[in-house]
Amino acid sequence: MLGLGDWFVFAAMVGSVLITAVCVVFGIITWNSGTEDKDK
Amino acid sequence: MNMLLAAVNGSGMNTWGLGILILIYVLIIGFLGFRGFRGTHTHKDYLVAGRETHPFVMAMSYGAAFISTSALVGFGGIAGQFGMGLLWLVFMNIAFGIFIAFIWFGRRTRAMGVELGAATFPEFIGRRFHSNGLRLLIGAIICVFIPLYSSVVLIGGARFLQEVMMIPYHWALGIFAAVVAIYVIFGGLKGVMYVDALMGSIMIGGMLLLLVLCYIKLGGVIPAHQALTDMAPLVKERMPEVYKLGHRGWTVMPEFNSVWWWTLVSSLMLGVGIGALAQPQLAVRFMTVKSTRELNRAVLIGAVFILCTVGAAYTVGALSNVFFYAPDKGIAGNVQLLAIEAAKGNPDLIIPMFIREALPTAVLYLFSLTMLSAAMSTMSSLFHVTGSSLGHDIYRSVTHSGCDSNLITRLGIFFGIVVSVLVAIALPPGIVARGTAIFFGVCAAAFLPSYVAALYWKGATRAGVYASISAGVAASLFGLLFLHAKEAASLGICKALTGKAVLISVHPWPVVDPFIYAFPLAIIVLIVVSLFTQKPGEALLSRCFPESKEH
Repeated sequence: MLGLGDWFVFAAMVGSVLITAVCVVFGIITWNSGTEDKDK
Repeated sequence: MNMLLAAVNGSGMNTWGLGILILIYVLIIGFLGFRGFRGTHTHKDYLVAGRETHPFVMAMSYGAAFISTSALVGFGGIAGQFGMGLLWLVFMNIAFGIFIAFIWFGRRTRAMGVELGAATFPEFIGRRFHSNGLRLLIGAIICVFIPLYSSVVLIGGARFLQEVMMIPYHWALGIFAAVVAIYVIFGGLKGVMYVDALMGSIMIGGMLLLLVLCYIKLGGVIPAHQALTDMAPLVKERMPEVYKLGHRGWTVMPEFNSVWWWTLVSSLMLGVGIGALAQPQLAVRFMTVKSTRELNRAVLIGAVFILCTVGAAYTVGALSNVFFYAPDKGIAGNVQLLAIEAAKGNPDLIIPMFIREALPTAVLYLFSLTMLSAAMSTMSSLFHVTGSSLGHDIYRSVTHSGCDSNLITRLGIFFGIVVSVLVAIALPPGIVARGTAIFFGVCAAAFLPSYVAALYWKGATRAGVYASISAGVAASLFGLLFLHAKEAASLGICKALTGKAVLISVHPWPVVDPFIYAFPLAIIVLIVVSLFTQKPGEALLSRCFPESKEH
């Protein structure tokens, strides 16, 4: 567990990296998709 | 911040060298502010950066405005006390502050903001519920609470300048406010966001370097963590009082339902973590991009920014215990101390002391710029949102003035800065972390239920939103004045009125953050009142939710 003493703290560290990875993958997949709205 | 100053002074840093570095830094800021000024022609440019911001600039600006010196030095020091359980706040910041915020809040805020022609957060909510009164109410809440937050960030920056540049505190306060004022007033949101992008980049570089050097100093990732884990018995041995409060080591969570557990979970993880979703100065950034494509790209950049900055700060804060307790750390007075002991009980000093004692002087230079960047980027966004609320939302609504929107907003920003400086002069020392936590909690309880309803619930009514915001603010203030021990005891109002330090002394109430009850209360009030009051008109709803019209 990376030398950590508690699964919950381990989960926080791994979870932070994983959620960042999810954001990175999301950003890459949707890099060129999106809609534009014009000002009224 | 005082600690950082002390660390800088004790480090042998060359004041002239740092002064030249800061001068170059200020000149670049001036150039970027001027670019913003040159590109600002309409009130849309001034308030929402023309809705054409590059995704990198938007994401870095969002992150830099989000993460202040309080997050890096203040909360980094808290990690030195609480340990790595604080990494849950990094997870919350990315999950809520970036992923959920950009995808579920940002997209609709941008589309609805464009449809309604809104350029500020109060204007957005006001137009969504067709209520000028709501716009005024939200603008007024912003004008009351944000100067408190901006003034504590200002204090941090000024104290730093005072120590590093050796100038009197009040001069430092004035100079610091003036530099930020110039690029915010003239550059508008474009200037603010360009400068934020620069500052955000410096923050990432500075904090990543700090993390890498920390692991190198402590012998690698796993040896460093293992050494910290092995220190757990020292809590009971050296800090029996803290052990009784629930502290069990720096790589484990505090004991469930203990004072430390409630503080970590209710105030830090939930209050600050979720609070980011409803901050007006962050929400307005969603309206600065021209399409959801920019928001998609910003998710990637923003998440990496948060992980690199606060992730590094909290990890280094916790690991600093290993350094200070090492018998052969190679500094004067090789006494084995815990980080909080080395900092003489002040957690704000842990990160700066670690940098001074453990790392090369050059890192302190970079860290100095990182700290100035964190303070200035947050302050500039707060000044901008205060000024736009005061000038664009309140003054123009009340007077129905037809005068130049940019001029009146600039005057509003100037007034907001003056108020922040005066509040900064009046506030007592040691207010920074508490001020930040109060601000995040009040924002979440007051605005989040109504903001979510504005984006996703057609049945939400104007009366429901009025009641929810009022209930959120009232419950937060009641909690701060009468229930939460930290604030209630120091303000003394509860003691004066009831003779008791807090109204309910039964555990865990004195340590439960007001956000925990104010937020659900605001949700319930919103739902109940909305169910029994007049629904919004179909014409307004079809403008706000065009997708449902198509199906």
